[in-house]
Amino acid sequence: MTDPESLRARSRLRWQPRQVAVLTVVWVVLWGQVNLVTILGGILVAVGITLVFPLLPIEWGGRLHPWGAVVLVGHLLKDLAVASFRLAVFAFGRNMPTPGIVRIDLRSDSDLYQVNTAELVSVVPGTIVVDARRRSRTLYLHVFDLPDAELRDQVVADTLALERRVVRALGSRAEFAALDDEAPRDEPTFREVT
Amino acid sequence: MNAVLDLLGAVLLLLGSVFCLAAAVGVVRFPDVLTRLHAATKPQVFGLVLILTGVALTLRTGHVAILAAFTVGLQILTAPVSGHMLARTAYRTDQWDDEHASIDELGEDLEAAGFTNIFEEEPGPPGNREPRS
Repeated sequence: MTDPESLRARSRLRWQPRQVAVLTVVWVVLWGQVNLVTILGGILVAVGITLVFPLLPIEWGGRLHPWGAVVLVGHLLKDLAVASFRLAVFAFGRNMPTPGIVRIDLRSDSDLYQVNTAELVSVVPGTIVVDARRRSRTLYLHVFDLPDAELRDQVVADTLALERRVVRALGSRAEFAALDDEAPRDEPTFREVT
Repeated sequence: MNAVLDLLGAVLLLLGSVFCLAAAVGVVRFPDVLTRLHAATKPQVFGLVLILTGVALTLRTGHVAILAAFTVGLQILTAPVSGHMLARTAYRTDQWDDEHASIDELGEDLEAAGFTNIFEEEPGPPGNREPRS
């Protein structure tokens, strides 16, 4: 892995065309009209934003797979609906939830997939990421209702399936294949402060 | 056709409002910070998705549809971030309901690594410590 400090140093004044393009589109949509002023103004604002808040360069060896992305979004919407419904039932019902915190060791080894998985797992079914560790690719999830500690395996399986869909949507073939081998990982020790 | 779309839009608006109400009720009723966060992030995002879909179906202009899609996308991207920050802080300042928790593997790992929570001894602010009925 590249040294984060050197990445940071060279990222500061980097030209980030993709971010500029996306931000310009957002700006134009907010104005609601496409003309020279909004487009130029958008580019100006976007360049300013990327200079003030530069994104760290992301190492990404894969590409976007349209079908994988469709599957990912479809699952996301379904999970969102189911999770929201269950939470609504709890909100109006008599039972109070039994929470639990579960450790999940991800199978992929990439910042991008870890962040995406954490992000989606937070939107989705009854889970929030309480803590995340980079070295061992671990996520700690607070599960909304986990009445029985045995159910943790189900949560782990669901999250790994989500990670699989993320890699299926964004990863390369090699990365997807690598999900299946049991790579030895560092034991969770808190040597690194992240 | 327009009548059908109007009806569908209205139904979605209503349904979305119900989910937002559920989120609000959950924030009031759930026992601790972390469970309340669940209420604050999930049904509310879903409610917003439904409401904006309803609005887009009712107004039926391209600009509104794109704007709604952007709003939903940004909401889905940002809600987990704020949720995570709050969750992490709540956990580390021991403001969560660990007595009723079934399992806490983060606590086990932190303890195994020799960390102790210095907030453990002091009771949190009174509001967060009420026993559950």
